[in-house]
Amino acid sequence: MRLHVPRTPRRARPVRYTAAPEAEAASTLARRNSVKLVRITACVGLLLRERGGGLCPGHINLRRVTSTAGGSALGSGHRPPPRPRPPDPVVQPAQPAIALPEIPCEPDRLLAALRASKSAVTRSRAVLHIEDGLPAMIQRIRDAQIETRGQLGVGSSRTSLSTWRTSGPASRKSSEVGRPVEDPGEGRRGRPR
Amino acid sequence: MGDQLRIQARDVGAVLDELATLTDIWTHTRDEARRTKAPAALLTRINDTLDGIAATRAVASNRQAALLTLQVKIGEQLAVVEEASTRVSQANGG
Repeated sequence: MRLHVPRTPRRARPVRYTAAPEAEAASTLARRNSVKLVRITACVGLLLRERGGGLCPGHINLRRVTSTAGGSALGSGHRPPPRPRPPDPVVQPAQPAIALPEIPCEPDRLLAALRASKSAVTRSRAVLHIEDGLPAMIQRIRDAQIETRGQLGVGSSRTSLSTWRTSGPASRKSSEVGRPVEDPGEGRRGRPR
Repeated sequence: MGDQLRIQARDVGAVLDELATLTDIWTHTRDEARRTKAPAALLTRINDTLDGIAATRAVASNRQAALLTLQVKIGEQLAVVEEASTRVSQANGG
């Protein structure tokens, strides 16, 4: 059974046309954002007071909210830095083709240029000299390296020997005080019974 | 020594770049000639030209490889000499 509800005449509500957000004036947008900001501040303050956090509503200021709650989008004026666009692929222009009437003559000129290129590419006298002399040079460096190593080894033992000699018997004795006298035959004799 | 090698390697590199451009031009020319149904003699001439360019490119590439190898070898020897020199100066108390 359906109830018969008497219809009351409806009053038409006036339609409010608002402009698109992007068409709004900057001042209107800033006002809206500031209202949103106040609301968010109040909500965060209530939340923190309920949870008993370290912050009290008085500590919540504009800077804190904007820095934590995405303030960049709420009218602080700071926009996130634009993402760097990937560079456009470089399109190499196609090389122009040689006109058909020029094709019979052009290769002759080109072949002459190619011959010149070949001669430019061939070994110069200086490079030839380097290439030819390099194996002998490598061998010389190798020999010198061996000799240098030997000389450095002899030099270091000579230096230590001369240092030991020039240190004098007194200082040598003082440096040897407390050091056990090594007997070369000790190792051979073995342990005393 | 190193400068001479570097200059020669740079020259060979420039020649190789030019040859690459020429290859592109003549390859494009051949495509166009085929598209426009050019006479066979013309196509033969284009192909001969491309062969000549390829031969020169091969020579230049080999030359570049040889120069780079030479540069590497000289660099190795320089490193050996430098190390020995450092050891000598260290032994002299430097």
